[in-house]
Amino acid sequence: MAENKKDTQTKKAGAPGKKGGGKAWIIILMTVFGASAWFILPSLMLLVGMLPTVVEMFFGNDRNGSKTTAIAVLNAAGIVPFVIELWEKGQTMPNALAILNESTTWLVMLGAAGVGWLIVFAIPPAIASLTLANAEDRIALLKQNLEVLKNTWGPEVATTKPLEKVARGE
Amino acid sequence: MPQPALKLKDSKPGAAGSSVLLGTRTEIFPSSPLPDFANPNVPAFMARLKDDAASDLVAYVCTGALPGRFDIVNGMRNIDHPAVLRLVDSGVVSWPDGVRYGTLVYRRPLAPRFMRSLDETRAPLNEDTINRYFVTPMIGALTEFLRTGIVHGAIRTTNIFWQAGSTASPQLGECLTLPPGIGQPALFETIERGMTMPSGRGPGHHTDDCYAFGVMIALLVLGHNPFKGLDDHAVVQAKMERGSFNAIIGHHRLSPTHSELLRGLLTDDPRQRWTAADLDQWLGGRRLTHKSSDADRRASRHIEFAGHEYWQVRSLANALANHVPEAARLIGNGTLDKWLRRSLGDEDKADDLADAVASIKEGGKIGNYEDQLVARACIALDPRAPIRYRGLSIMPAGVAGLLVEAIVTGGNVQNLLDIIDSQLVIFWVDMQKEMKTELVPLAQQFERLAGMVEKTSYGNGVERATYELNPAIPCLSPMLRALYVTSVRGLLPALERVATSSARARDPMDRHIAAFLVVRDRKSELLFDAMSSPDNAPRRALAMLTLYADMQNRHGPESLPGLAQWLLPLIEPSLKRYFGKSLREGLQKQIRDTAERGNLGALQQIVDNPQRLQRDEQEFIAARLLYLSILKEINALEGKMANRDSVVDSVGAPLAASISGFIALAAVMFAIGRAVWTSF
Repeated sequence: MAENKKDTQTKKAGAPGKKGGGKAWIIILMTVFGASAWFILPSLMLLVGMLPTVVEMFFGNDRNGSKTTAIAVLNAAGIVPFVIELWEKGQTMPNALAILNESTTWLVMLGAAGVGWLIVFAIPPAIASLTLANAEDRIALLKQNLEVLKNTWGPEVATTKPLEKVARGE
Repeated sequence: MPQPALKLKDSKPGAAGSSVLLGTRTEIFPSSPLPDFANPNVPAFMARLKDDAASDLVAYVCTGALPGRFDIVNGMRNIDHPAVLRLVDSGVVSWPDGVRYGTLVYRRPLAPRFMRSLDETRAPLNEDTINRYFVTPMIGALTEFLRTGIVHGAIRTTNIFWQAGSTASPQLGECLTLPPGIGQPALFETIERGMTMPSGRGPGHHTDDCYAFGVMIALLVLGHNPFKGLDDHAVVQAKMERGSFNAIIGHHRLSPTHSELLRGLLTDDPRQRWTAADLDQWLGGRRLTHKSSDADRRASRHIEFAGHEYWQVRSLANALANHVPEAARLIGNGTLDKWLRRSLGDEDKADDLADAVASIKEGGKIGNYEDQLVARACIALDPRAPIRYRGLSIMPAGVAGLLVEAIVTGGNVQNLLDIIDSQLVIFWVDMQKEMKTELVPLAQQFERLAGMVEKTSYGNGVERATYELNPAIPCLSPMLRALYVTSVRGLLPALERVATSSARARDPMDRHIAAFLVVRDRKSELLFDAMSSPDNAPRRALAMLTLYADMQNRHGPESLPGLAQWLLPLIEPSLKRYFGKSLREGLQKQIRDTAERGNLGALQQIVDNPQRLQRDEQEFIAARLLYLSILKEINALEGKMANRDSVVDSVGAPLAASISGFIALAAVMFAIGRAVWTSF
């Protein structure tokens, strides 16, 4: 069974895809879940708590996986306290279900994912605006430098005319 | 049409009655002409030494177009004989009309001019008078000329200063103010020189002076001109047909002394003609043998040509030269060859004619074939005669003078160039039977000249030939003609004067100046290659600047602001070689300031600095590369700005992921820490 899973993963890893990043995540998650059978209950918590990440992976328009990563890491961070709590209380189904039944659990897990989503929503456009503003300033400075070069060397500095012709004033 | 000497309008003319200074010694008075002593086209003026008010001198000012014989001035100064006018001073004088002229100053003759015209009739002088006052002193004068190697070239009865009854010996007039042969009638010239154009006669030989002396004595004996009313051509014709002695003396009875003297002097064979050494021996009593008749060899049958009958080869050759198409036919159809062999009995001459025809055919296709053929045939028939070609009649040594005349008068030089180029002179030398070794240097010179006149670059051509053949003439550049520049040292000061005058041309350089410098300063022709190309004006201007800067360094003067300002608009375009605009503007200011100081060397260092040029070029290349890289960066940034989504994805999203990661890590660490803490 493990070998079958490995074959499937190999095939999937070798295949190029639009959502290559998302599929990789699936593979990683499945590998984690599959390899850690003895962590079944934490895994169950992970599986349930990482739902926002899974949604983003399948329904988001993340081209390079950055958005998914941003949501996933905060999503996972939101699950960690409860995994720790489960370990502390004992890894039993009733404990797991008890933790999952609490609304704060869902608030934290989904809230963390939500924070991730907020970051993904707000930060990239802001960064883009800042980057573009910087680029504009840079372009203006570079254009000034071009003018300085033209004033120092004349308009021929902008041409690829042979030097002999420039020297003759042609 | 003779061109008047150019004037510099800025020159300050002297006030009426004032003198002009020749060098530092001699004062000349332009307002006191001496027409009695003047020569044709050469006025004479009163003069005196500055430190000797009693000195009585006459100054000949060469105001005509043709330059004088200043190359033999030093030799003339060495002659101190009572029968020769004493040369006191020479040089260049600034005349009141603003032009500089070559000038010669002599002691004023003791007597007036003996005759004013050849056609004057005077009572024949008796033998004793002639011998005492003319023969003996003139032999002394001729001896002096022979000693110094000078050919007077102007011995004639109208160039003698003497008065009947005077106890002083006659004085020969001056001979330096005009090129040799100019102003000398054919009567006083040998048959060969009489056939030659006056300006093409060349300096001649000592025996030509002896011949002229003989004619002078003959006219004194006769008391009249036997050729009165005849033109030069008729005079030469008569001499050719009867021999000079018979043609001049005719049936007049001479004393044995004069007969012997005149036969020796008037013989038409230069080998037989008496020289000053022979005359000296004759004075000493030694009797010399001489030929009885000089008449040209006569054929047994005449040859008809151009409607006339000819019995002698010299007169036939003269006629052939004047009727080229008919002459070419006569030569081509073999008639002339037959006449030479059968009627004249001169196989050598016939062979020479055949050589002449063969020489022109060996040369391959040649321009003006008939003219060349007839010219060579005439040389073969009469080797001592001048070269006769397309209306010119010149001695090889006379090419020099004729070139100068053609240039200063604006005449046609092409026929002269043909003579040089087609090696007619070398053929003429080859045909000479006597004195051939003496003519070898002449032939070699013309061989070199043929190569020079073929080239059209600056420093070559007809101008080069002119200065090579005439070592003493001034620079004939139209810009400088009024300033009489005879030396390289005088060139820059002259250009400096021209720079501020109306005579200034666009460039301070022309073909004459280039050739003058190549010949007189031994400059390499390569230096002038750049000046031959009108298209490459900056290179031409830099070549001029380099040349003049070197001359200023060697000869001075220290400051030439006029010349520098003249060169400035010509060299400024060369600053375009510098790419840096601010560098160019800086250099432009520098050269303008330097031009005001007139230091051509400093100007050259500014304009033509190879290290600066190279550095500027390298910096320009680097600037171009920088420009390109800046453009690339701008394009990349503008591309980025046009695609905002890609910025969001490529920059924003990864950054968001990083921020989330940091927050997640912190949260996890907090969670773990809290768990560990609570467990303790």
